[in-house]
Amino acid sequence: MEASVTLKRVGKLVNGRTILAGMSFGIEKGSIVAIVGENNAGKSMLLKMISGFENPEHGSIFIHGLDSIHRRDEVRRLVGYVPINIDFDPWLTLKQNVLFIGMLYGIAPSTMEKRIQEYGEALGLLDSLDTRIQDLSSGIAKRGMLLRALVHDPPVLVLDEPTAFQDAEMSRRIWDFLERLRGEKTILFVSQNFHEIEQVHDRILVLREGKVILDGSLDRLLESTMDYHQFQIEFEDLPETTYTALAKMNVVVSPSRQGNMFTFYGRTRKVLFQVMEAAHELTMVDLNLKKLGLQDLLDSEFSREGLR
Amino acid sequence: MIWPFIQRRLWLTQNRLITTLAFALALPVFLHVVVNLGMKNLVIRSIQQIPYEQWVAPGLVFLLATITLIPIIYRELFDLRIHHKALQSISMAPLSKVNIIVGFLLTAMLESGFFVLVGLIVFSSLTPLSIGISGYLMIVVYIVVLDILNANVLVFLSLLTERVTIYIMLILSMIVLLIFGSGLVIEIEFYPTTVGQFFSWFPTSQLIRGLRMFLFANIFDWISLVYPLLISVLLLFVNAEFLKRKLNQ
Repeated sequence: MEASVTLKRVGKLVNGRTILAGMSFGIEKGSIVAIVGENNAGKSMLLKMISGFENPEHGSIFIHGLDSIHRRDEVRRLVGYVPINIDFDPWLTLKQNVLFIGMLYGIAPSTMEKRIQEYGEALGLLDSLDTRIQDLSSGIAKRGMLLRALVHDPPVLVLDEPTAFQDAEMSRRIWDFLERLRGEKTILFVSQNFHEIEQVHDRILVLREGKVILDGSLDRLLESTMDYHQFQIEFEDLPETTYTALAKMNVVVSPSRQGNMFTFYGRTRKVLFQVMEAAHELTMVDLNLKKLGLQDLLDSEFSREGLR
Repeated sequence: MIWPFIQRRLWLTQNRLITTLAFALALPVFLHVVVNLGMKNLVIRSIQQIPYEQWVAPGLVFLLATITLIPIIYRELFDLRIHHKALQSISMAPLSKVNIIVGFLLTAMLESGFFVLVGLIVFSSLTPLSIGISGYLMIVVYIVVLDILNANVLVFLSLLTERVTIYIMLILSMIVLLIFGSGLVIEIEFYPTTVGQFFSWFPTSQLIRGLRMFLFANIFDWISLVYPLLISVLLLFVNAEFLKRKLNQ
């Protein structure tokens, strides 16, 4: 696959503090890439630099093969950026804000009008176009920013919390819309909503202290790092001796109990049957099995302890 | 790439049309009342024996032009910048920083120019000025140069400061300096010689001196136009570089 975004040893310092350090990776054209990490991991700064809003102190960023600093104007036409906070001019209407930016990119009025209608409808914005930003809710304004980022039809979209301020229905609508752009546009986004990331991504980059510590699809990350399942078995009665015996089984990871509920992790589902066999003399009343998700992956990564 | 900025300014004006029109009419009347009506009893004639209300008229137009520039530049390059609005997305467009600064300057000058035109009509009706068409045209020429200069100074101050308290103090100091140190309402010759000579080298002093020379002595002094223009051009590039550094782009 052809690279859409390429970072080569990119570093960023802010007030003497390293925000990003020696970051190198490439992103394929048309893919959807999620960037996750704890607060201050450098996620938003990474998006700012890829979009051209901030210059890196070290290294180079290439968008469709063009150096983002030396070919700045060309690169800017290739990127649409949605920052985390609402940055519209509050005294203009949503449509005036979008048209102004479109005009700066030299887009013909008829083309802009067509895009505003098309994307505005998809994002549920048609009724709000002629309202001043100061009179709009944050949710509508945030969707308006997505519309603004698309008005010059860039092949790369850089989105910082695209579903911030949205209700569940609108979040779904935004993701459905972005899903439709898959293959046509490269989409990089930061989100704190792990459920959304699990649903919509080709690849996840996990950042910690300005470095990429994990990179791949969720399944691959879980496979390579944990591949664990969480099991919960509730017994009618769980004697201490049986609990100790079960906890000592070498396939059982991080065991714990809450009353008669035995919770543990295992690498494969087969572990459950081994535990059930070992506890065959007890009566089971409930069973719960969960494949670990992104949140569990990050929890274990960021605690730096993993599953014990 | 200036048209989008003009269109944006038209939208902004249109969205607060009544306030703008009221302000355009009220401000020159206010300046006439607070400056002209009081001062003409204190200073009856200038040193060159020109009636004070005639002599001060160009100064009032200069003052009007500067006052109307302040809120526009303040909003575009200070308020919206420190609150991470508008300027952020404008800076993402494929435009040079000089282009962005020129866009803001020209649109601020256009709006200020509208205020000045209304002001000229109001001043002329309140105090009949004995200047011909060429006088009015020369006022426009000098106002354009003054606006370029003042807008650049305001852009510089807007980019220099991050706190509104400091900004307000700087702007108030600038206004006081303009009113008293540039000879807009009081002649520089009233100051001690050394101070007066120092003030006379201010570009704004040069402009008002040049305009008064044309209006009241029919002498065109091109240095009074070129000197402030050169400083403005220099400031324009300084501001563009300053904006680039402020945005870290």
